[in-house]
Amino acid sequence: MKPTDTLLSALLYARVMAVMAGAIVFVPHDRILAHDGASDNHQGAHSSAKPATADVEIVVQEGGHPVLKGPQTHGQVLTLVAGEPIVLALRNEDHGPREFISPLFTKTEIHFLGRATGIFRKDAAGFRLSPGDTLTLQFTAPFSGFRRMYDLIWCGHDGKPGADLQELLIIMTEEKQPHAASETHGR
Amino acid sequence: MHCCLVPLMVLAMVLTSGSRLAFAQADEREYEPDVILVIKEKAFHMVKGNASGQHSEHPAFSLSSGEEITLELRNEDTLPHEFVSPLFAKVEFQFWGRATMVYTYTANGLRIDPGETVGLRFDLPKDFNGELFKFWCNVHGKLHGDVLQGEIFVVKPKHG
Repeated sequence: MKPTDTLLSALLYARVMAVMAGAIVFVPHDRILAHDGASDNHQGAHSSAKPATADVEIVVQEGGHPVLKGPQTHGQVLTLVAGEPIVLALRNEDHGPREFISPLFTKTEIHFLGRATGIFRKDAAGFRLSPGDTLTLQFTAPFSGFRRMYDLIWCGHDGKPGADLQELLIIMTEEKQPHAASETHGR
Repeated sequence: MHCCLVPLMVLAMVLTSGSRLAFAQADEREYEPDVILVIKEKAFHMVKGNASGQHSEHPAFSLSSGEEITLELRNEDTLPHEFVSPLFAKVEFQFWGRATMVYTYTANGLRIDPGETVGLRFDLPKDFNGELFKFWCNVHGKLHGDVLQGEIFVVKPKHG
């Protein structure tokens, strides 16, 4: 084998390896960890940030209707327990920007991670996500004083939140029932 | 000799190319801030941006009506700090990073934990007619009557 051939084959091999290494480096984390929440394309803003694993996802798919995913969901209803923490991922898989607006977001501290547009209004707050983006929210379900409290999340677009009833999701927050105490009394 | 040389060359090329890619990604920002505010020692320090008003008591920046500003907020303190304003009830703001929403009757905004950096971009209202827009920390720059103290950042109208 000539030295030039050896050098050429080495260069070719190196290019292949470099491309493979590059592919590994450039694959966005949200593609690898499908349920890990926020996309990691904004590392300049928070290089230390690591998204928590979402308990529940709200996914707006092509066509615009939101879908709830997770063990605490049933159709269009998400059930929370007052005083307990929840990690909620908002995903926009539609072609246009989508908004996730709710009065609930004004009733408790919302910790967020990701990239979005924040919207504060008098009685509700929320986020607008660009196509392909994910925002992870972490909060404690608020106490209302009622056994059950209902809130809506409007998954709208173009500043017309909830124009279609199918764009609404219901969040039902329940007070924890004192099962242990009642069982004790019953004995 | 060649069989030893080739893997070494390959290893070196892969390592250098990989590390270059990693560094390029770490430095990547999706926004270019007009202003960088470092929060520490109970004050907002403007480390990037054309300060408006040399005699201003607080860090300030000038903008025209409808103009856009991109801020980077870096909390270099050991405590969480807030960045709130009545302006955020009027305008939407784009953000990048990790923070907590702050929603009150008087002002809305973000709380940033120690060590975190958040990018914020928003437009001034079109009818911005000369009033000052103030941003402060509810934790350390609370309102005392009409006087703001401590951590305050001001956006002033641009003349001419």
